[in-house]
Amino acid sequence: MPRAKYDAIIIGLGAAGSVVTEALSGAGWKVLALEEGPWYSPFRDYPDERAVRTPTGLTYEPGSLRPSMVKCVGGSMLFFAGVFFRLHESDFATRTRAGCGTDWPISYKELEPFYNKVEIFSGASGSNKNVFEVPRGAYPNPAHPVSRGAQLFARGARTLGYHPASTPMSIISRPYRGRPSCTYCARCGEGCMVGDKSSPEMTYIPAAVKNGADIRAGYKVLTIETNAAGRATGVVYKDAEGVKQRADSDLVMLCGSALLNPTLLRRSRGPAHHDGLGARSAMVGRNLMCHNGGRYMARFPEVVNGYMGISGGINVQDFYEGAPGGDFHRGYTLYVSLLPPPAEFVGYLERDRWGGRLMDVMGSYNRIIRLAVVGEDQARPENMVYPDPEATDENGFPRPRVRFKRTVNELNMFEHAVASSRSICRAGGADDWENHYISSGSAHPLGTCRMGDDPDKSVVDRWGACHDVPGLYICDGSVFPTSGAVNPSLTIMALAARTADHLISRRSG
Amino acid sequence: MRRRSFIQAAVAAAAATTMTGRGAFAAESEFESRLLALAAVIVPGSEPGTWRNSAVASALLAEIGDPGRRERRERYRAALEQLNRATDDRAGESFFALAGERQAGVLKKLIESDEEFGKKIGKEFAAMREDVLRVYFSSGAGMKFTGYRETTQFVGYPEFFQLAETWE
Ligand SMILES: Cc1cc2nc3c(=O)[nH]c(=O)nc-3n(C[C@H](O)[C@H](O)[C@H](O)COP(=O)(O)OP(=O)(O)OC[C@H]3O[C@@H](n4cnc5c(N)ncnc54)[C@H](O)[C@@H]3O)c2cc1C
Ligand code: SF4
Repeated sequence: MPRAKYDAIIIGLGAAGSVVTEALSGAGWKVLALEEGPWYSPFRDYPDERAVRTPTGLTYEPGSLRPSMVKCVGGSMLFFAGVFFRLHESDFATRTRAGCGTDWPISYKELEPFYNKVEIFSGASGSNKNVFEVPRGAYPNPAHPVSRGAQLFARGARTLGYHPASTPMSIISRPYRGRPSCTYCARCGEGCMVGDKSSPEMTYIPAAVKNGADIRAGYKVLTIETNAAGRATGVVYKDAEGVKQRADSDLVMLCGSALLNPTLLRRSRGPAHHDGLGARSAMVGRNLMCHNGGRYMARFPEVVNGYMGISGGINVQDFYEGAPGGDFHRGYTLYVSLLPPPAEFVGYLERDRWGGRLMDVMGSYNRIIRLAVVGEDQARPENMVYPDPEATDENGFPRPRVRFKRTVNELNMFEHAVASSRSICRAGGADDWENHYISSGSAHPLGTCRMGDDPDKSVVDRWGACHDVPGLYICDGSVFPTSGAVNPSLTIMALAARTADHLISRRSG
Repeated sequence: MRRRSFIQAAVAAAAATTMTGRGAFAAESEFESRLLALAAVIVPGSEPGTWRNSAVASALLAEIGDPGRRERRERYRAALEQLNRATDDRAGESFFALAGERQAGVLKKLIESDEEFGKKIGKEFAAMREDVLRVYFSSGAGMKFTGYRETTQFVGYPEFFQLAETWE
C-alpha cells in the first residue's frame, strides 16, 4: 500500500509548531505533527507532578552558559511564566537605528496583524498604556491585578520619572472562550491545571485536534528527506514503539527550537545537500542568543508576599533602547517575577547562607520581591549549537552541544540593570538589603537559523523558507536575527502564524 | 524543589508532628546528635528546641539516614569529627561541647581563616548546610518562620489578590 502523503509535516509542537498545526489544519490541510516529547493531560498529570522535564540530550562546553528547553506537546511553554510582550518597533531595525545587530527582513507593521491574531486566540491580558510600545488596541482581556510588591516597584519607578506599565500576560484574567480565569496559585512553572494559562496544550492543540490534525507524541524525527533536486520530500522518524518510519510531504515545517534544529538540519544530508540542510551560508547553529537574563531582589518594610500569584506584574522599559552613557548596546526590560518558595530562595543567598544572618533574611522572606532582567544580547557567530564530536544520542547521532559566552557588553548591561533596579526599589521604599545574580542558564534560546534576505548570510527568508531547500520552512525561535529585550514566545507564535498564513494564501491564490 | 513537593513535604512534616506527639525519634548515635547540633548552628530556628524532638529534626535524620546515601553519611561523620578536632586545636575544647553562640563564632572563624579546614571539610560543610536548609525551609516550622502560605487552586484566591486592584 502506498504511504499516505501529507499536505504538511510539522516537526515539534512547541510555541511555533502548535500555531502552525492549528492554522494549516484549520484551512483543511492534511497535517501530520510529530512531537518527540510526551503529551501530558493537564488535569491528570500536573497535580501529580507527572509532567516532568524529559532530558533534552544537550551537552555544554565547559564554562558555557546552559540554555535549555522543554520537550513535550506544548513545548517550552508548558512550564512558562506567561509573560507575553511584543517586540518594539526598533527591534526590527537595530542596525539602522543603533548601529548594532542585524535588521530583520520584516517590519513591526508586517507582524502586527499576527500579534493581534495570537493575542486574541490566546486571550492575552494587559493594558495598552505602555508608552514604549507601538500604539495598539485593547487587549482581549483586562490586565491582571498586581501584588503589593509590584505596586511599590511602580511607585519607585514613577518617583524617578520612569514609566511603569502593566505586564502583558498570556494568562486570562477573566473567563474566556470556555476557560476559567487565573486563581493566582503560583504554579505556572509546573503546568497550569486550571487551564487559564494559554500554553498551546490548552489553546492551539485542542483546536488542531478538532480540525483533524494527526498529532503524534513520542515520535522523534531523525532526518528530513530531500530528493536529487534538493527539495524536501518528507521525514524519517522513530515512532513511540521505537520503529523507524517515513512520512511524505512536499512541505516540511521545522519547529524544533533554536537548540535542537541545528543538529537535525546538519544530519539531514541528501543527494543535493552533502553538508546537511541550509548549509550554504554556514550560519546553521550560529548566532545563538539567550537574553541577558538575571534577577534582582529587594526588601520592603511591609509584607508584600512576592511568592504569590503570577509573574509579570509591573514592568519598566525606560532602558529598552539603551541608557545615556551606558557602556552597552541596546537595553533591557525589568519586571516583577515570582519569588521562589523558601527552600529554593535560600539557595540564592550567598553571603547570608547560615546562622543569624541567614535567619535575618529568611525572617523577612515575605517582604522581598524579585525582579527579572531581560536584556538584549548581541548575536555572535561564535555562540553556537553544533554536533558534539564525542557524545551521541540513543540513535547514534551526535548530541547538540552548546557554546555560549557572555561578553563585556552583557556584563555592563547587567550592572546597569542592577543599579537601576536598586534605585527604583529604594525609591519605592526598599531597605538596603539586596541580592542579585546573572543567570547561568537561559529559558530563551534564540537565533541559530537566522532569517534574512541574503542567502549568503542567513538560513531562511522573510517567510521562514529555507534559502537552499525548497519545501522546507523553519519556523520557531531559531529564526530571530536579534533577540529584543522581551520574552520571546508571543513573537515566535506571531511569526509562525504569519508563515502559515502565507502558505495558505499562496496555495489558495 | 518544586512547589508541590515542597508543600507535600511540609504537610507530611506537620502530620508527623501530630501523629507522634512530641516526636517519635531520638538522636540515636553520636553522629546524629552532632549533626543536629550543627543544624542548630546553621539554622538557629525561631523557637528553642527546633532541632530537638521535633518534626524537622526527624525529617533531617530521615534524609541523612536514607540507605541509598550511606556513603554521604560516612563523609558527614568524618567531617563532623574533623570539625571537632579543628576546634580542639584552636580553642582547646570540643566543638560540640561549646555553647551555641560560641559554636557559630568558631565555625565562622574556621571557615574564613583556616585554609586547611576549608580544604578538608569545607565541601562537606557546604553539603550538610544544603541538606539542613532544604529540610528546614520545606518544613512546617520553616514555613511558619518565613511567613510562606500555601496557595492552591482548590483553596481559592489568596485574599491578597482578591483585594488587589488592576494597575494602570
Ligand atoms: C521555564 C520557562 C519559562 C518561560 N517563560 C516565558 C515567559 O514567561 N514568556 C515567554 O515569552 N517565554 C517564556 N519562555 C520561553 C518560551 O517558552 C520559548 O521561547 C518558546 O516556547 C520557544 O518556542 P519554540 O517553538 O522555538 O520551541 P519549543 O517551545 O521549545 O518547542 C520545540 C518542540 O520541538 C520538539 N522537537 C524538537 N526536535 C524534534 C524532533 N527531532 N522530533 C520531534 N519533535 C522535536 C521539542 O520536543 C519541543 O517540544 C519560558 C521557557 C521556559 C523553559
Ligand atoms: S497562577 Fe494562574 S496561570 Fe499560573 S498555574 Fe495558577 S491558575 Fe494557572
